[in-house]
Amino acid sequence: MVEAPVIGVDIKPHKGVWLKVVWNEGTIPWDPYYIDRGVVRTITDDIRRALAELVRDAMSNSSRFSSQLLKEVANEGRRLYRALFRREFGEQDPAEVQQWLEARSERDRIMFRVEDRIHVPWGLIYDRDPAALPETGPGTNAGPYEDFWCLKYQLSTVYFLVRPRGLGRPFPSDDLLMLPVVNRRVFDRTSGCLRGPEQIVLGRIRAFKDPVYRSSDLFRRWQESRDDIGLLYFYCHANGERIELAPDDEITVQRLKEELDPKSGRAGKPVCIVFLNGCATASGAPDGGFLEATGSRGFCGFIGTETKVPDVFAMRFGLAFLHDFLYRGQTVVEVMDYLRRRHWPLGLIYGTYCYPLLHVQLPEEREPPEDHFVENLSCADLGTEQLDAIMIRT
Amino acid sequence: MSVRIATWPKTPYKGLSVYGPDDIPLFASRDDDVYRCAEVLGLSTTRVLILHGSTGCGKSSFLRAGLIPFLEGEGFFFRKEKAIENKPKALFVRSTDVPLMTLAEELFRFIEADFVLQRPVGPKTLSLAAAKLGFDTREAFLGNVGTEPDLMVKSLEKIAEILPRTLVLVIDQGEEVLTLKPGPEGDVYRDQFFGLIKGFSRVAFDLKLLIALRTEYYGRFEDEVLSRGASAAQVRYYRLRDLSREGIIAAIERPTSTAEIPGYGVPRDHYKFRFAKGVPERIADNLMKRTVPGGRLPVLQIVCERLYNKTRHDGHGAEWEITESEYASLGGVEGQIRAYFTDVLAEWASQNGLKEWQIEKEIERWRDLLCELTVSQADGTATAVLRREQELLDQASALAIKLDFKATMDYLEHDERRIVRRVDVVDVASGQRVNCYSLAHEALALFLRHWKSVRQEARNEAESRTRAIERFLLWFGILVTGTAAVFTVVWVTSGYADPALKTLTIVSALYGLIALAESWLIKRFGLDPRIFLVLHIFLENYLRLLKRILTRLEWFLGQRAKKS
Repeated sequence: MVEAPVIGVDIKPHKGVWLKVVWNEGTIPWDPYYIDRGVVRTITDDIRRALAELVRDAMSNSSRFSSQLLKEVANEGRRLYRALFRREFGEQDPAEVQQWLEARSERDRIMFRVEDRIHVPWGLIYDRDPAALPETGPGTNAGPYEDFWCLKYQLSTVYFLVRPRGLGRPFPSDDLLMLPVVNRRVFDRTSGCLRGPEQIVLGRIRAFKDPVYRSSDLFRRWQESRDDIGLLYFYCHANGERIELAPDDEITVQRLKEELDPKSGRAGKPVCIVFLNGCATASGAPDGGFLEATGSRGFCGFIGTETKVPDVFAMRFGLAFLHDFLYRGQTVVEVMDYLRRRHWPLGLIYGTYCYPLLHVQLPEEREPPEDHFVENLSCADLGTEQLDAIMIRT
Repeated sequence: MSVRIATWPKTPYKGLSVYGPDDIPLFASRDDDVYRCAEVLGLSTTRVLILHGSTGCGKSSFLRAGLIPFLEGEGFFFRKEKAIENKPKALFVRSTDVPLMTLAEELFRFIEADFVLQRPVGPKTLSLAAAKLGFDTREAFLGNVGTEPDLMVKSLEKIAEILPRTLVLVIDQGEEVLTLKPGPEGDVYRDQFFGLIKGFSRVAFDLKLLIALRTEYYGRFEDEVLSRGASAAQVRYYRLRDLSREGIIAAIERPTSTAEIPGYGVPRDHYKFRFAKGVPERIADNLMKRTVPGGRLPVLQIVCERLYNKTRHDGHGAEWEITESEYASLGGVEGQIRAYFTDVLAEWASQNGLKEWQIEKEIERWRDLLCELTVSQADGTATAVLRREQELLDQASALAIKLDFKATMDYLEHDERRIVRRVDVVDVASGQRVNCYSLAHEALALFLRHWKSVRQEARNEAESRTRAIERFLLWFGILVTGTAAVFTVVWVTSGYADPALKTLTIVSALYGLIALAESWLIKRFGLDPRIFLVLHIFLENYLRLLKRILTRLEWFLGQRAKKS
C-alpha cells in the first residue's frame, strides 16, 4: 500500500454565515479565505437531489443509467467546485490554491476536516466542464467521470476533533469484532435476493450468524464488548438523523452518541469504524448528524450514503465492502475507491466520512480471497424499496 | 512545525519547577487526561474551556508538557514567548485583578508583530493590524479594547480571521479576578472579564479561550459566568484530578523506567539510577496518607529531587540505587516545602558571603518579606497576590534584609528554583506597565501563610506572657510599696525604731519601686521581661561580690589600723 501525500482542507464555521477554508500540504497551511455557507448548503441539497434522481430513475428504468442524469450530478458538482473556490473575503486568493492543486501530479489523498453541521458531499465535486461528458450511453463506465473528486483523489471527510487514539493501529484480523445491526424484515428479504457467490460471502462473515435486531440488544452488547468491537455495521432504514431497526425501534443521533460513548475504554485498542448502510445517512441534520456522533471517543467516523439507496443494491454493496475490507487487507479509502469504480455509478451514493487508512492486518501467509463481486452491482437487481426512514414521529 | 531534537531533560525531577515541552519524556500519568481534555476543547461547540484543579495537582505542567504539545500536534496554535536559551514556550496571560486590560496588553504586543506564515509555496507575512480596530497606539488600544468586552471580542475575531490555525489563548490563575480585589473596587473589572466570556461564547469564530484556575474557586467562577448570560453550551469545564496512588508511583518511577520512550530512548540508561523495591510505593503511601498543604505533586517532586541530588554519583557511569534508609533520612514528606525554601535561600546566602549564624535570621526576614505575596481568604485558603516591586523593596528595607533584593529575586525567579515570578501588570490609572512579583507556586503561598500563622501564634503567646508578667510586677510593686508605706507610718507614728523593721521597710520600698519601674518599662517600651530577670541575677551576684569586696577591704583597713 503506497501512501499518497495528504492534502488537508479545514472547513470551519465563521459567525454562522461563512465557512473558513484553509488548505494544507501535510501540516503546512495556506492562509484562510471565506466562502458563503448558504450557497454551499444550497448546492449540497441540489447535488443530493440530482443523485437521488439518478437513483430513482435507475430503479424505475430498465435501461439505466441516463448519462444525462449523471451529467446533472456533474453539473452540480461543478457548482460546488466553484463555490469552494469563490472567496467572499480573506487574504488568500483561492486561484493560487487552485493552481497549486492542479499542478500536482500525484493522485493525492485529500482529507476534508469539517467542524460544521452542514455535511457536504465533497467527494461529488466535479472540477472540469461537464459539457464534455457524454450525453448518451449507459453511463456504467467510470472512465469518463474521473474528474469527480471521489475518483480523482483518495478523498475522505472527517469531523474536526482531535485524532482518535489508536488510529495508527491496524485491526488484528482475527480479533476484529464486527457487530452487525440490521432491520430484520429488510435483511431477511434482501439476503434472499443474493446470488450464490454473494451468499458465500455472507456465510463467511461470522458476525452475520448472530446479528442484532433491536436497539436494546445493540446497547447491551456494546456495553459488554465495547473495548473490542472494531466495526459497527448498520443495515436498516435511516436518514440523516436517525436509524430505524423496526417500526417501533429507532435510534436518533443523540441516543447513539450517548449510548455508544466508550468513556474510558479502548486504551491501546484500534478505533471503531461505523458503516451506516441506510438512506442519506451522510446528509446530516440541523442539530448534528452522524459525522459528529461517530467522530469522537474511540470512533473514527463512518461510511454512509449521500441520498436514498435501493435496498438490494445496498445489501450487496455493503457485503462487497465488508468482503474487501475484512479479507483483503486494503485500507478503507482503497476499498471505497475500487468499489465506486467497479459499481459505477451507484457507487457514488457512498461517501467516506472516516479516517481513510484504517485496515485489517492480514497474516502474511494468507491468500486474498476470490472476488465474488465482479459484476457491476449497479446493473444487477437493485431492489424495489429504498432504505429511507419511513416512520413519522409526532 | 520545526523538527525537535530529542534530548533528555537535565534532571529527572523538577522540584517546584514546571514541566515544559522539553520534559515530555518524563511527564507521566496524564495521557488520559490530555486526550480527554483535548477532546473537550476540540469540540466545535466549545468556545471557552475552564480547566480547574486543586492546588498542586499539576495544572501548569499538564498544560505545558501535556495538553499544549498534544494540541499543537493536532493543528492548534498557541502564542509563544521567548524563554531562556531561545526556546519558545507557550505564553500564558496571567489573569491579575484587571484581566481584560492584561489580555489587551498581550494582544497588542501580538498584533504589533507581523506573523510569518510558512505556506506550501513559501513564507508570507500576515499583518494582524486589522485587529487593532483603528486603535493604533498602545494607550488607545488598552483604553478601549482593554475596557470594553465587545471590542475585545471583535479584536479576537479579526485575529481568528487572519490566522489559519485555531488560536487558543491561555489565561492562567483565573481565580485572581475573584481574589485580588474581592470588594466593590474589583467589580468593574470582573464585569469586564465575565462580559468578555459572555460575548465570546455567543459568537462562533476560530479561536478558543482556555482559563486555568483552582478548583476552590470553580463554583464561584461558574456562577459568575452563567449568571452574566454566557452561553452554557459553549462554556465547558474540565477538572484535573489529583493523581492516584498508581499515578504517583508511575511519576516517581518514570526516570528509572526500562521501557523505551519513542524518540528518546530508555530513561534508566540515561539517568542511571533506580529505587530499591518498595521505595516508590512507600513515598506514594506517605503522600496519600496525609493532607499535604500545597498538594502532593510539589512535595513528590521535591522529595525525589532531593533524593536524587543527595545520592547521585557523578562521573562514574555506574547505576546506583536509592534505598529506603536514604528516603527515611529526609525526614518524611511533611516539611519538605519548608526545607526546599530554606535550602534555596541558604545556598544563595552562602554564595553571597553570609556567615552561618547570619543565614538563619536572613531566611526569617525573607520569609517575612515573601509573606507579603500571600493573602488569606475568608474561606481559610491562602492565595498568592501580586505586589509591586517598589513595595517589596520598601518592605525589604524595613526588614533590614542584607542580601541584594533584585539579585535575590532574580535568583528565586529562575526556572530551577521557581519561588517567585515576575509579572508585568498594567496600572489602570496611568496605563503604564509596572513590575510586580508573585509567588511562582501556590504551594508556597500555603506554606508561607501557615508559617506566618504559626509564628503569629507564637508571638501572641509571648505577648500574653509579657502582659501577665507586667501585670504581676505592677501588683507586686503596689503591694510591696504599700506594705513599706504602712511600715513607715507605723514606725513614724509609734516611735518604734527597731533597726530590723527599718531595714525591712527600706528594702520593701526598694523592691516595690523596682517592680513598678520594671512594669512601666515593659509596658512603655515593650521590653522583654527576661531582660530584668537577667538584670536581677546580675545585680544580685554583683552586690554579693561587692559585699565580699567591702568586707575584705574593711578587714584589710582594720588590720592596717591595728598595725599602725
